[in-house]
Amino acid sequence: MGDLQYNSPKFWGKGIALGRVLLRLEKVSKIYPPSIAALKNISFELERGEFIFVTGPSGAGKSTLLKLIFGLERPSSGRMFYGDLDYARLHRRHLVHLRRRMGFIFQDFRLLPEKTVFENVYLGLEVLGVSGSVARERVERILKRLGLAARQNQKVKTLSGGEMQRVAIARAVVREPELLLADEPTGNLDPERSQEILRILEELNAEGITVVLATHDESLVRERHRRVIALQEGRLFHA
Amino acid sequence: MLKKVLLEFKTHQGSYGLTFFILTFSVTLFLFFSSLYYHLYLFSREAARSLALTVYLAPDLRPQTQKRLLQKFRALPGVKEVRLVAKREVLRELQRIFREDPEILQNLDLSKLPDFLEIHFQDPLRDLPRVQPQLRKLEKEPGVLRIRYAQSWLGRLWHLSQLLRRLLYLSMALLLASLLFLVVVTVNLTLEKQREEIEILSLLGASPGYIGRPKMMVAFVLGSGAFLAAFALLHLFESYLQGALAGVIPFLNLRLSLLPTNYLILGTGGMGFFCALLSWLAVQRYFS
Repeated sequence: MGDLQYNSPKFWGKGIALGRVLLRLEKVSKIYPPSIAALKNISFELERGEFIFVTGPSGAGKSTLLKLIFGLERPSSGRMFYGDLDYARLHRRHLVHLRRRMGFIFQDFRLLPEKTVFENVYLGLEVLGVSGSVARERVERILKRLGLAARQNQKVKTLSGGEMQRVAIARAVVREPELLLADEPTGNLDPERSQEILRILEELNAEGITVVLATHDESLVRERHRRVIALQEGRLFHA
Repeated sequence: MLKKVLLEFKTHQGSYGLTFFILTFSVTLFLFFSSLYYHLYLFSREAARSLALTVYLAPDLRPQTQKRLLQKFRALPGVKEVRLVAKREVLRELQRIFREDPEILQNLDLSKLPDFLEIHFQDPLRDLPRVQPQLRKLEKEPGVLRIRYAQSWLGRLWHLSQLLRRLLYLSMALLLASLLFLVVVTVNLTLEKQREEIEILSLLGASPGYIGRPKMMVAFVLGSGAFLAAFALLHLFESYLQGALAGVIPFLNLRLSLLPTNYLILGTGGMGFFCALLSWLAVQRYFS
């Protein structure tokens, strides 16, 4: 696959061949200067439609792993593939195309507080070039589904933590991503709200979205029979 | 695109308003002081334009030698006119000057009075420095007593205008550097406030162009608008400046010209493009 293909809009429309395996990591390491190893020799495969947990204590490398998958960081060594797409051959300007196929839910939500709930979610579609009545309809549908319809004209800064997290989820899934990455999405929430968020993510997974959820909360993981990638000091402890 | 630009203005109206104010203030200061230095230089230059050289010739010089010297001075580069002022003409001038005290000239021996050449240049500021080496040689020519400026204060003014020209370049460079520094800092601080928005948009998969285009357009409008506003402010101030500067050198009636149209267009466009470029670079920097 040449770089010319990566430059082609057609390629980014249909070009990535997605088989059974959506994501493949081969001996991936990430070392921050001067020599802080955040990840060491991580290898695993993620199948389409899977829901996996990435667990481990703080500093284990969970966020780094998700950032690598999302293209926010580059691995120091090893290889990563999204379908048959080699991350190493991706230029910085192509990363946006890859990110458009994914959704990312941040622990700190990363919402625009001065904009309304509707505008924040709409933005997720607008950057993909979907706008107008089609986009409005999709936004309204997802807000209704996540119980935010009544809040759609409210500014984000006036919402509670749980509501903000639901807006963040709405913004990520309104784009109908192939892969949803969630970095400690329940980190700032009480147990009841955490269960609610997990339930929403499981519903989305049941509809075909592949989910990678990073959490340090073992109790959330224990209750669910999902594949777990456990990290400890940057090493794969258990998969 | 227009809708996006308007939305961009509306969303960040506070910071963009402040940016516009700072840019306008900076450009006004720059234009004001540049104009002031420039006109100071113009005044001195205009005055020094009447600068002429006086070449005193030895008394009782033979007409052939006078003619030869006349031709030599006429051949100097940039010379507009060489006039031979005969001793009788000098005497008439002295008599006019001392008409109240004619006794001063009573014992004057006409034969001791020198003839002289009055040399006018097309542009004394440009031409005089060029002919200096030749003048030094000509001063040693037989028949030449001395070469000096027609009036000593004009000579000083000429030196002053030379100094002012250098100061003008230096001041303009410093002012321009200060203006650019202020613009860079202002535009960067404005976009620093939008850093989170840029980062979030890039995380959502927005291309640098999608994020940057409306911001660049806004920066262009702000930059060029600030330049025009600064010019308009100075224009309002022009009549006052006209009066203030016109009185500096009473016999020189110099029209105050703020900026020729082509410089106005260049400044407006340049400022707009510079701000747009800074805005683009800032978006690139904050793009995750």
